[in-house]
Amino acid sequence: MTQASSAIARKDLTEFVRDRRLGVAALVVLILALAAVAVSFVRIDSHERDRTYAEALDRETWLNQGPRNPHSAAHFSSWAMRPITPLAVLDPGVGPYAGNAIWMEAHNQNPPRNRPARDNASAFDLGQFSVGWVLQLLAPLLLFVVGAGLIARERERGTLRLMLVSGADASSLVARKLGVLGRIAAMMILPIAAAAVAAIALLPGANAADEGWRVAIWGGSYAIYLFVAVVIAIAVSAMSASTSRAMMLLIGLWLGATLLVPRMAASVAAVVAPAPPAEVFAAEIARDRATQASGHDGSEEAFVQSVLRRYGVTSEADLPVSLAGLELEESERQGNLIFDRRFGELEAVYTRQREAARLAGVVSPLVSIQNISMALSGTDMASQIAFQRQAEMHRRSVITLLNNDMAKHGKGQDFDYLADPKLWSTIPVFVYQPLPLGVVAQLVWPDLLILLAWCALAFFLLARARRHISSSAL
Amino acid sequence: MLRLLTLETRRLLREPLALAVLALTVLACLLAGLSGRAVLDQQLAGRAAFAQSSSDAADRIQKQIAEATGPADVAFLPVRVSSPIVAPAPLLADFSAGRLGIEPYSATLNLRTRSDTLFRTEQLDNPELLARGSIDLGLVAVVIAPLLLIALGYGLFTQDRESGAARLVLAQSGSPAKLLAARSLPRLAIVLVPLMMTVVALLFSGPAIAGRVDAAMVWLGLAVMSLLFWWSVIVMLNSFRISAETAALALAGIWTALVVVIPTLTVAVAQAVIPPPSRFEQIAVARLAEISATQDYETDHPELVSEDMQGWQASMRKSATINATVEDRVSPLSQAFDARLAEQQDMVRRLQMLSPPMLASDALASIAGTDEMRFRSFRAAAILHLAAVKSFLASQLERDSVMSQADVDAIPEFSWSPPPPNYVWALALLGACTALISAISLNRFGALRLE
Repeated sequence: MTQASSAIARKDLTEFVRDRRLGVAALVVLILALAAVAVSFVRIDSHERDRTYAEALDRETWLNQGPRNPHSAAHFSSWAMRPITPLAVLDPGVGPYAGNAIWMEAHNQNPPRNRPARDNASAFDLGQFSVGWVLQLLAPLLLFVVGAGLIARERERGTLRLMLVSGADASSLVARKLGVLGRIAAMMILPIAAAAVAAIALLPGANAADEGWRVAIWGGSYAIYLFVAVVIAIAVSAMSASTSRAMMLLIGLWLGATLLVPRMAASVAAVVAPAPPAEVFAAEIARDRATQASGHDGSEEAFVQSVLRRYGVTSEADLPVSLAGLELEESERQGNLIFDRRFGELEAVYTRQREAARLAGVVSPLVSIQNISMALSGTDMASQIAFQRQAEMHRRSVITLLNNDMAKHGKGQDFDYLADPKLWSTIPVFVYQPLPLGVVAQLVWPDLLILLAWCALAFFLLARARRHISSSAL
Repeated sequence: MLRLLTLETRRLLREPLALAVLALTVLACLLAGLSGRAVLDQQLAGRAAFAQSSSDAADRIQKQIAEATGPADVAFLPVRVSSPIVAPAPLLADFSAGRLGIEPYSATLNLRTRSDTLFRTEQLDNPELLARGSIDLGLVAVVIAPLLLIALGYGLFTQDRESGAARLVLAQSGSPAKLLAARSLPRLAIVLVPLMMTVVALLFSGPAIAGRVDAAMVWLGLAVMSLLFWWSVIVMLNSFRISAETAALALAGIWTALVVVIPTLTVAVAQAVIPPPSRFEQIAVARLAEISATQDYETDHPELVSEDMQGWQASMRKSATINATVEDRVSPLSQAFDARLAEQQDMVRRLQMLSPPMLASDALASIAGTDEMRFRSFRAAAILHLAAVKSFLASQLERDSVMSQADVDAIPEFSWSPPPPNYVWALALLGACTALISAISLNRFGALRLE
């Protein structure tokens, strides 16, 4: 029985090697994936070089701005530029669609700017060319095309019944077919994984311990995803009357799972929890801000009185500090309340959209693997929001430092006060801290669960396929 | 012929695969329609909010001028007045969303605005959803419908060959052309009718924008031509002596190459071969220029410390001069960036010849008014307008008197006509390819009768 099954497996592999159509398709996918690794490597390396150069140049500008009013410096302020971590080789995630630079100026929480997708020359976008893209879209298609005929073709030729009567039982037959397709998948994916790991190691900023775990979980997740694809291919092949029927059904499933469902999920999520148009968002913040003091006009009488009480004096002239500096800080505090509310609402919309889209993982495993892949690569929306929040926290701390300096040293001069240039070197540099693996795991565990549920469904399908083969032999 | 057509239609409608394709097409069109409406509504709501806030700002300035008790109340008007600009809503935002999710379409220009920081209002669409992509009618026509046509057509004639019924079927139908027509029309209808109905539904339920119906008809014409191109490929594959399995495999391969691989590679190759200059460097250079210009100006203009009308005007002139200096220094970088992008665009346009679906998709977005070229044209017009506004406001600073309401009303107004849609080349190429492939197929099928 085992000998018969082994012979079948050898025959299938030989057929695959001899079938030039499939061999060429597999080779094309492999070359594409390796090209994707190279393209991603160059993109990340170039981005990081640009960023480091620009940050160094900007820091020099900041340090050499000479004597200046701290509030003038606060308006000039600095930019947070988002680094791309080496793991983005695996999956660029939301990176191309999210802004990677934030102006951290006084009075305003600015949204991120510089979306790389704006520099694309075409409106036709089926995803960013990357290892993740090849594994998510092309690898399942190839496995479906190769797997469609593995059992259906035996049935068409009449060899399925022959195999069964000559001692091969359905279970071992399915297991062998699974092994064949699994080996084809492994032959294709292992070189891709090796190239990706090498690229990550070569990029600056690689952190072996953290990234090792991430790559391992990333690889394991894709192994499950592709295992599900392999099993679906075998199950459909086992239950189809002909190879062409199996192929059409599998291509239909692929279309639904990779192109329709994730996009439907995105469209439905945008309808269920619509993000406000930028103009509406800006108008709402402007309306909120209009009711609040700017810090420039000294019109907040209640605040002035509270400052006088705090310092135990009766007139502004007796204050040991610059009232303008304190007013600016108060204005920031009030503004921050507005930003916290409005940007909090926007982030809540994004979270609802994410939850709505995640549900589609139940219909297509691609949605779950996309979430896991982006999160482990540090290129998901949670990482983007972490960047935005860290930049905002940095903005607030820097503006407070500058306002405090003006309050402390600017008495009697206010906006004419010029700070000592030494002040600029005490202002910290923005450094983005990627989300730790523990936080990432907390974010993606529902997706991992959904993927495991798909794995369970795959085993169920295998059992059905075995039963179908057994019954069709009778 | 009619009898044959009826027969084939009945046979087709009994096939579960055909019904599944019909259900999928209807579902995709329905979702595309709903999603398209949401996009259009968002575009209109954004423009309405912008118009309202611009109008409020203009009212505030008017009130400030009307209630001014002295020059001090209106002294800073040259730096406070602004010129709002907004691109008109695309004609068919609900058909092909194109780049709507990432491109800004409004800005408020004043004396302090620079061309490199002109659009401060960033679209807030969730990047995660943008990365996943969305469904619109353009996607249905270019990506989904061709694959559904392949499912309906891979065995159009190959299955008859496999079953040995080919000669019999040909003999019964009278001629290969009649057989092909009778089999093609109901299959095309399964995909085209829901698409056309969605177009009509969107037109009836959408806003009455001048030119929208004409644009929709052109859009539909191109979408139909794109599907006819695919059908001609399917028919040609059926003219070869291959099995249904090989036909399915070949068609799936062609679809994957033309729709998925080549377009994605085209963009990646263009970016790798012609990388745009660094946006980060652009920011850093602008800031360096700003600091240098500020220091130079302050050294040369000690009168800035005075707190009277003369001092205020000097302060505003300082702002304008620094702005102009920074603009001058950043301008070469911005121009280099635009030139690189234009080079990239040219390269993509050349490589698009390898993928008719990509060509069709970009042409559909162009007809819809959501393509890259339209936004580039809008940005270029906005930069020209910015120069005119700044020049006008700078001239106000040179006067001894403050700005009046008449001066505010005289601020140049923005006018921009979107470039004409760029679809003729795509339509011609698709038409030529379709005609050529159809002629080859008909010739091959014609030869079958003689066997």
